[in-house]
Amino acid sequence: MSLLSWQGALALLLGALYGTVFGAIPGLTATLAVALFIPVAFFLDPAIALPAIVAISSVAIYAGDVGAAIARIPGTPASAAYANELYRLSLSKGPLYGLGISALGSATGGLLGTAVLAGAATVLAAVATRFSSFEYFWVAALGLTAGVFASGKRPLRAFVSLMLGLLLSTVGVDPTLGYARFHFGNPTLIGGLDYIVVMIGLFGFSEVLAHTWPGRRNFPNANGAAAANQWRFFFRAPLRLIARAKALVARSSFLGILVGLLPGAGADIGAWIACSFQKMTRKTAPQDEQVVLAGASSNNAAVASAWVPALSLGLPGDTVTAMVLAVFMMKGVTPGPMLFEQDMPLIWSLYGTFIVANLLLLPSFGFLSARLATLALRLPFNLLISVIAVVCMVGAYAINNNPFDVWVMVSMGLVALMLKRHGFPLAQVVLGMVLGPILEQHFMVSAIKSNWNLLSFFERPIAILLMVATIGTVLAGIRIVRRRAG
Amino acid sequence: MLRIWQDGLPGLFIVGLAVFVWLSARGFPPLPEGYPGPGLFPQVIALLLGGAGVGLVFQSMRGRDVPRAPEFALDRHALRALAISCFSAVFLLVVHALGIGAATAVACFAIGLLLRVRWPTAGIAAAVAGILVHLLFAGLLAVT
Repeated sequence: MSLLSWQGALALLLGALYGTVFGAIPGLTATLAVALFIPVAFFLDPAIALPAIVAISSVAIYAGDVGAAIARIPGTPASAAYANELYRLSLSKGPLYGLGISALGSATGGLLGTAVLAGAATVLAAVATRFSSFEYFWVAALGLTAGVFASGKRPLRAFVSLMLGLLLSTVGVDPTLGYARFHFGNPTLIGGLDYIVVMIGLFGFSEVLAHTWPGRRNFPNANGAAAANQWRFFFRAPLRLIARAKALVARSSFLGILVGLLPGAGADIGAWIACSFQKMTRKTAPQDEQVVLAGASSNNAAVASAWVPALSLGLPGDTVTAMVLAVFMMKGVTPGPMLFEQDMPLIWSLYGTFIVANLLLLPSFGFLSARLATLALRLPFNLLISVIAVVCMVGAYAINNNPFDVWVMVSMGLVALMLKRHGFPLAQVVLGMVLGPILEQHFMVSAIKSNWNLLSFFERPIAILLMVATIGTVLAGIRIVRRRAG
Repeated sequence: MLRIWQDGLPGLFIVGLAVFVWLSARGFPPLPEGYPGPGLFPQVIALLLGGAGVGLVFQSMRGRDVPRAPEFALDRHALRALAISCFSAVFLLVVHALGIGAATAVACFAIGLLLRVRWPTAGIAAAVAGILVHLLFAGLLAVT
């Protein structure tokens, strides 16, 4: 069987539909969607299972932007990097335009990531193996630094939000030493706080609560664009933007590809760095379109490049590829350099799937989900708020089947209201939660294995490069903030 | 003076939080030979948070960079927001008794009424939401 068979095509279509539904609902993620599909994948031919998984992950990552566009509820931490900008775009120009930029930007980034996957998988995988705990520490530090200056004019408040996120990440078992911290005798807290639950509370539930105040009642305008206008808003205008901003797309995709290559790093860091870079490299405040385009293209570029270490070395680039490797093993397929010699039809099928997913499925299912989101906005305002409130509760509960998560979600919603009231950004809290364990674990592992010789953080060439990039980000960020304030 | 006090309040709260975290983390055990253990990271965060909190207080005293968000006033709308939050307790009570679909329907209906949605509309929306959630979460994902 191959991609060109009717079974392959059906797998792609159903995978994309399934990924769209999962990605758009708060609490349901691309990883969960793939995890639920794995038992089915075991019984399928790999040439059918893999296209379905690629379609699910590619479309679900984008679909997380649908919630951000209509209600400021990002589906993934990477989406949180540009959720505010996407929401503002939806308010000013309608959700079709914002989601069009996201979908087509994602598709473009995905195609570039696929080109890298097809052209240089084995070579790039060799580079990825040179990353040790020291380099991972500096990558996380770079991501956190980028997050501080991604907020615009108030870096001190963004820094506080980031620290709060890092603090939340310390709740539960220490990732290196296994010591339970800040659980206050509550056994549920020993497992830590789920960042998806926190994200639903910070973004989704807080928006619900905020909309009970009359001055905050604004949702994107759903009112009737004619069919021809819908196409123009979703396809033509964003494509023109991409054509004008080729350098931005290439740069952001490149950052996403780099991060996706690193086993276990995740797409989140790439999106944050890409968005921060875009905000920092303009003399005036960047347009929201550009920030969304930077984040979306980086996101999906990382999805494709995460397969590079998985196929070439058998090292998962992210959670999705970790599950795919399990499917490979069940099917007797051994990833590594020999895979490229012994099973090229499978590899070509995979490349073809990425191309089809990004060229056809993302734009078409993206348009479908954007249209459905627009239809949802026609509901009476208060009814929509009540539905979103309940979706937040259901999403938070369903993640771990744990009532405590609902309390965490509500508490985070109330905390987010307080943060918003005093001008603290929210996205950085999520960034801190996601990168905190990576930063701490790699720091502690590096320190312990070097016998607490902290100079070892500055000895390896790639580590030094990353350190210089981190310091450069800080200096550039301070300079730009001063210039914009003055 | 009152304005400075109000604007500096977040900074003071953050300093207080930092002190609490520092003191809590001091109780975590070190590694053998006295090397830092699980308390290191929280203590570093506490130091940085405390510094940032002091910075916010200074900013407020100088009257710089103080955002205003008057729309979240503590009025009857705040009570409504609090009531919506409390409905999560209703949701949890019902989910254990009747399942996630019924809990969704009850919570959706109740919050809709609280937000002054007309009861027939709220009822229909609640029923549809309950059925969809039951099919997806209870049926497919086995969430009970």
